[in-house]
Amino acid sequence: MRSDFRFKPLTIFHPHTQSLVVQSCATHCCSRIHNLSVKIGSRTLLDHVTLHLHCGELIGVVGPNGAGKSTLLRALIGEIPYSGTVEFLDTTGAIHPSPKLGYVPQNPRFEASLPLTVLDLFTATLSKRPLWFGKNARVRKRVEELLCTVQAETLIDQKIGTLSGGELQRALLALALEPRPNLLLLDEPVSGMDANGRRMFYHLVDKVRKTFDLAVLFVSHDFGELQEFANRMVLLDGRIICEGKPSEVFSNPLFVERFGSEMLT
Amino acid sequence: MMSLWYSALAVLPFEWAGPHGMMFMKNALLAVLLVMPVLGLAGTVVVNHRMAFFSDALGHGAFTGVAIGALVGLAHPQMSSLVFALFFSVLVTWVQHKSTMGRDTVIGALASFCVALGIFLATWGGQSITRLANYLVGDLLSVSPFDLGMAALMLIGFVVIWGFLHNAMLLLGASPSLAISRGIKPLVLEMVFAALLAVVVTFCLQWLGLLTVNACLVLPAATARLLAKNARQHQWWSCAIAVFAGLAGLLSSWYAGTVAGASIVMVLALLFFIALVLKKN
Repeated sequence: MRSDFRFKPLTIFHPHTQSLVVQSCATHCCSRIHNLSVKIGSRTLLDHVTLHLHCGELIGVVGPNGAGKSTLLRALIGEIPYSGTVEFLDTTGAIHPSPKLGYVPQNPRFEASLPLTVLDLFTATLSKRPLWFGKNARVRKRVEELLCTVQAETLIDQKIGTLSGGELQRALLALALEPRPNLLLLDEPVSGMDANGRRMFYHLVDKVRKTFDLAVLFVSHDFGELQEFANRMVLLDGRIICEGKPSEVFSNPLFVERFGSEMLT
Repeated sequence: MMSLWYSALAVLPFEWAGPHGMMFMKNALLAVLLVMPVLGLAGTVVVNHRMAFFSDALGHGAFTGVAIGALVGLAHPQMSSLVFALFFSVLVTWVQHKSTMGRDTVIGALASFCVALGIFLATWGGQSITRLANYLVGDLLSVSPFDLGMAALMLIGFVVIWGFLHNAMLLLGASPSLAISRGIKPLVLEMVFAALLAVVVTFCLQWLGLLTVNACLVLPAATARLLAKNARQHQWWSCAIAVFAGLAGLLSSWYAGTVAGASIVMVLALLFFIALVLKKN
């Protein structure tokens, strides 16, 4: 841990109370991304990204295509090498020795013929016992409970490749919640869904954020929903251009230039 | 141990299974029961991870190892074959991860190189390549009790390692990103499985043949995939199909006087096409 590191006070906007609260990592469990950079060859994809995410907080990440939004998430799960530090602190400020990340990937594609049910996917992820040894009633019960939290309990025996986009993302959200993550990463999970499916998904994420006091990093292009559900937003374009409450990000000149000024009204 | 097996076979209504029957058929039958379940189980990953070309190339790597072993005068070229196949499997997996080239391009290039190297070494100094023909088509009827002991060890070892690998391989095959987020290291896991596959393919090469061993790996799992409703069924169906085809193929080869490896593949292919037609209807 860097001894010269200073906690940066953060301004968090609570959309429902319309109030501003100043918080720092010292009093909240917190995921602390410090100076995270990703380089591939001579190309810099992410440049010194510093971001603090508190428990119970949903941060919306927006930015143009190629801004490094997915790269940030893939670096956090360890898929892409990066420089900088990522630490997870508990309420006393101690660094978590084995942090857990929940991850819902962007556009996961499963072949329809793949003999893998929702229960199989959960069992393979959550249980050490080889799946082919036999049925495990305890795991099945736990999977049913998890699917229940995302209103997807009827999908348990369906092949993963036959689920609709919304069903699949709900199932993957339930999977990302076990074991309880220190940080939940959602990479454009609602892309390709209709308006009803999108809203349902946002409501679910909001519910699990509150229920489990989760820190959520949500990459999305749905500005309307983010305005409603995000506590804070980040405008990313290789580096953090702007960070703050949704209205601040929507009025940023780069945001207006790339996405228009509709969100200002 | 073997005498127990021989006396148990006496109950079968075949002339070769009697007390004074053909020992090589009795050995071959046990060999089928020991290796086909391994091919059935390992094949599910080969099919789900789209590794059919890789497993085919592994046989080529093993063949080169045989040629090297024969050149340096080893009495049992299987050892050099295993070492070379292990080296080949790890090399291909590593290059695939580090290179931006297509997976099939990497395998195609390295596999062709291996076969060329094998033929080059096998014909070194004007030797004839026909002495290695047994490795091309396999010889299931020359199995010794020592080979059977090794096959039993391979079966036990495979099932134990498979117990540890299966769930992680399943997750990796379904979604690499999801697997990585769960702490799985794809390169390490794929190398371990590739090495395991190299052992299996090399071992089966001498019995089932370079030209047909890959079909014994791919077809049971591909057929099972058409029938299975979940991952557990995929494993067991694949295992059952592999064993059934192994037994049916061996028996048909006895009565038709054909090579056992190819006969097993004929049964496997027939089952695959039946399953395909049933699935379409």
